[in-house]
Amino acid sequence: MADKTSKLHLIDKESGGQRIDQKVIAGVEVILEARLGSATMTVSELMSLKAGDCVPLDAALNRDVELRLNGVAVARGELVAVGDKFGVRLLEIVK
Amino acid sequence: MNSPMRAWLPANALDESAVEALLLPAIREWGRHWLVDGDVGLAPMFQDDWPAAAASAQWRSIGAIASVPAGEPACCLLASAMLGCTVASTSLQPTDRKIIERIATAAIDDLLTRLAKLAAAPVERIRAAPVDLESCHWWELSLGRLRRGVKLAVSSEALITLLTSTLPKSDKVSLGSLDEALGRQQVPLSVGLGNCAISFADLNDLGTGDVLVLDTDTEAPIPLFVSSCPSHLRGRLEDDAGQAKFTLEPQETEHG
Repeated sequence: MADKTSKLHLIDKESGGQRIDQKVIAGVEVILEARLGSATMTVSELMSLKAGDCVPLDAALNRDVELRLNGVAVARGELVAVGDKFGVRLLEIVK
Repeated sequence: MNSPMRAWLPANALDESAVEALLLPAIREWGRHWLVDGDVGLAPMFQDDWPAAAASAQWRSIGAIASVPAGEPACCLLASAMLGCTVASTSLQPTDRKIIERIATAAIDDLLTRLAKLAAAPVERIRAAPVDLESCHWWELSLGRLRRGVKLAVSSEALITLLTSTLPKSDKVSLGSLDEALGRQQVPLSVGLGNCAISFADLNDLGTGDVLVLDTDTEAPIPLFVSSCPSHLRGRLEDDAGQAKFTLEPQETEHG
């Protein structure tokens, strides 16, 4: 996916501005991954964790949820509930 | 990036003298069992001699370990050493030829079996085809007082297995000290809230204020990611004075 996108940019530059219509990939489905973090811990601390223990995260639920596309952050937002599912309300699109 | 682990051998491990020291006891024992004059020597062959030795059309081999050319000249030579008299192929009758071939191949097969056992390899059936001769070390077995000897090809892989089995075991890091060293390693943690699938067109149109619905139930425990990999540790998110905290839940067993 990333390779194809890169190629499209190359064609755009090298062919004097002639651009391939993005409609070609408009229907391609991508997976966005929502992550909240981060924290660091030593392996010994991690291994000694047990049920009920808390891991403090250096993040806030109301602004620091990151949406990643293939590991790259593309947006940030806050965690919300949408019916019985989690949702993310976008606060920032990463340029 | 992971670096592959490689087997270690000391420098010059495949030196002729080192290999000879490993093979010779088993070969001498074989010689005492089969030959009238049990004296057997082992001499490395020069690379220039390999093509001539490899030209034999008849072979006896075991696994991928070793091969012996077993044509009529080799059989006659070996039979001479076994019987204590000169066996010349020109003077053999067809029946004699069969007997000589039988006794010589029996001795060759026993030699190959002893070498397989030495290399701690499973003893396979002897076959009449050579091993990969390109990857072999060649030797000549001198048989008593005979001027010529029988050729022996032993694969490098078998020799390496044999050599490594005789090396002193390296000191293993004790589990306690390994735990202690590994325990200080810092690992990054994050919480996986779930995924959503959208089209590329929708992704391009995303703006602030839009809400993306994830595939995770609010009531279900969510996974802790360790070094960007999902772990079996699951828990729930809570808000602690503006900061998120992740509370671990009991781990599910295989039986749920």
